Amino acid sequence: MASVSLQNISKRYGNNEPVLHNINLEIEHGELVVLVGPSGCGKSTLLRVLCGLEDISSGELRIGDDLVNDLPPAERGIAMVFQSYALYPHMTVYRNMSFGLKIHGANKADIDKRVRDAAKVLHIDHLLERLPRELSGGQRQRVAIGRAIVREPRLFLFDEPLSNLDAALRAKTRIELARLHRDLGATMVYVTHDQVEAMTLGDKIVVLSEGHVQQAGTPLTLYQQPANRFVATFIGSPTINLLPARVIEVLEAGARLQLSNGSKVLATVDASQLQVGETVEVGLRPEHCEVLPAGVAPAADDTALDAEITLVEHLGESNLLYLKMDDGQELIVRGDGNAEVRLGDSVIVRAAPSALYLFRADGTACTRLNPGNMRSAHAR
Amino acid sequence: MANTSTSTSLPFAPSRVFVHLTLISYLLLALLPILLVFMNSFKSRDAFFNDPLAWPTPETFSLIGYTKVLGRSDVLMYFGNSFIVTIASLFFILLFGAMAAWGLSEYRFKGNRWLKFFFAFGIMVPIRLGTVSILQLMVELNLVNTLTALVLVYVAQGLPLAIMILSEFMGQVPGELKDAARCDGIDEFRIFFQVVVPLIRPAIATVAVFTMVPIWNDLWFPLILAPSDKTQTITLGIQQFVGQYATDWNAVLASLSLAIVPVVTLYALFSRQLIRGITAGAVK
Repeated sequence: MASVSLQNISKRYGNNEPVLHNINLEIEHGELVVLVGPSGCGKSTLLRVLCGLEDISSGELRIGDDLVNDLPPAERGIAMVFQSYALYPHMTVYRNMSFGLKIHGANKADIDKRVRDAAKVLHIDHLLERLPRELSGGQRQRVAIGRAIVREPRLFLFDEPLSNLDAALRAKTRIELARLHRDLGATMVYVTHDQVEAMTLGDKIVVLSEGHVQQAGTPLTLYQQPANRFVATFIGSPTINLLPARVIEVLEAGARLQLSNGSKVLATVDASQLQVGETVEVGLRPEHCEVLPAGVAPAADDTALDAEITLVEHLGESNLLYLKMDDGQELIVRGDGNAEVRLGDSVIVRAAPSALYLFRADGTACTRLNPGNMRSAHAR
Repeated sequence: MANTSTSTSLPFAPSRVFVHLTLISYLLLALLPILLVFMNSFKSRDAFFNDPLAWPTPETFSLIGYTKVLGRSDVLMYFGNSFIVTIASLFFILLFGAMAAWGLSEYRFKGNRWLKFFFAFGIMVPIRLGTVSILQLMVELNLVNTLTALVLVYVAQGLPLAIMILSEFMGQVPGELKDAARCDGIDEFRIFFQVVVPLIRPAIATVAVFTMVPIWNDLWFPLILAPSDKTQTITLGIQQFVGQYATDWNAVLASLSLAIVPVVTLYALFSRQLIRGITAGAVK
């Protein structure tokens, strides 16, 4: 196992715009780093650069203490699990897992032991003589992971490994991957576009957009303290509500703002950079709001928005309320699943000043002064 | 089935009848001459001149043609020559064709497209146009009346189509599979022979069938490049029974029937591969 260090990594094809711009990233020994971003953001390219399937246009890539810029994949000590599994279709599971080792002339007994150990860990030891086409999607997935494990790599790379599985199996395999990561203590880089996978698996999440790192940090940091508007909208489901606003007063403990419907709100953020009159956006997560019946007066500094229910999605444990404010702005709020709501009801959406996010016109976020919990149960 | 109500009396659509009629008549057109040769090869000389379309009966049945042909040791040699030429040509066409196709479809390099076009051009120009120069070349190289000359010409003749078909199929082998192999530290030659070639076996079988039949049946190049007694192929050897004034029809028909057998056998072997889709299970 090893740490990985990326310094000013850029990747361009021919003379086109680079697809990766100066990526700087430190991956610690044993860490599971998740690369997320919308499609086309460069996350898969970055993974292929780490793997050695794409060469690096500029910058330095180190695995452990070795500069590996010009090493072919096999000499980097990496193993990759592909989205399509990429099992050799004409070889049995056993041969799939042992092929690479055999080519490199490893001792036969040693190969056998490694394959059988990995198969046992992944519960595929009864499938060793089968061909890939005789396996289910989940089993193929395990074989692909097994093929990576037997190589005993310094770094595991996963390219959207769960995206071909159905929802139930995906949740199960996700948990198994987390367990595997803990048991192997391996350094892993994991690409996904699924934010649940990112939040649950990652020790660290790297959000990419258009070839730039938007933010790298623990899942809860990204959720509670996003660096910019892009990260805030990307992490969290349903998406954070963004309301245009104007700064009317800069305080020690935050900023007082006026929304476009005229209501005034207080956000407890670091407002030292803000100027009165500046145009900003207020972010309000659907799950940080409370829905009150019309006519209830909330506390003085709380945000209180009058709105009408236009659509409700009942999820069981909660309701997703789609609301329209009197100036036409739309809001999504997660409400209590036991509350009885009706379309057309007028309600008040309440949120505490500490729940608000604030983004400046260029998209950067103001630091929240009282963010919620950012400490993970897995923190080392 | 928009007109179900009107066509309930018909178990199949009229257009299908037409298609089947066309195919059946083509089948008859192709098979009847072969059947005629085969049928008459088991009859005595008088019998097939009296009634060429009749099946052999106990009175007309005769193996005289076969005994004559198989009794001559040189006929077996002709068969041997045909075998050597066909198998050797096939081997080199498939080997070089697959390797060139892999190179052209997998690696991007300067002149890649031009090289592809150059090979495609080979399909359009019949190699027989170059017969005179080929003969001159073989004379220069002292290869006249050798089987090597034939193999060289057939390899040249078969390569363009082989490259064309195989590079199409190579392009369909999933890229992640090759990437996975590269991550496994497998070198490019092994990726080609142990990962890609097994996956395109059906395509290789197709190419084998397409190239094998014309080589086996060819009369032109054996006649020009290797007409000596020791190097005749079976198609050329049969001509010995065809004289200017008298033709030994029993022997001709028997040897023609025999000449069909090996190529049909090889076809049957390869065609099993044609049907098999082996990529199932590679990627989802």
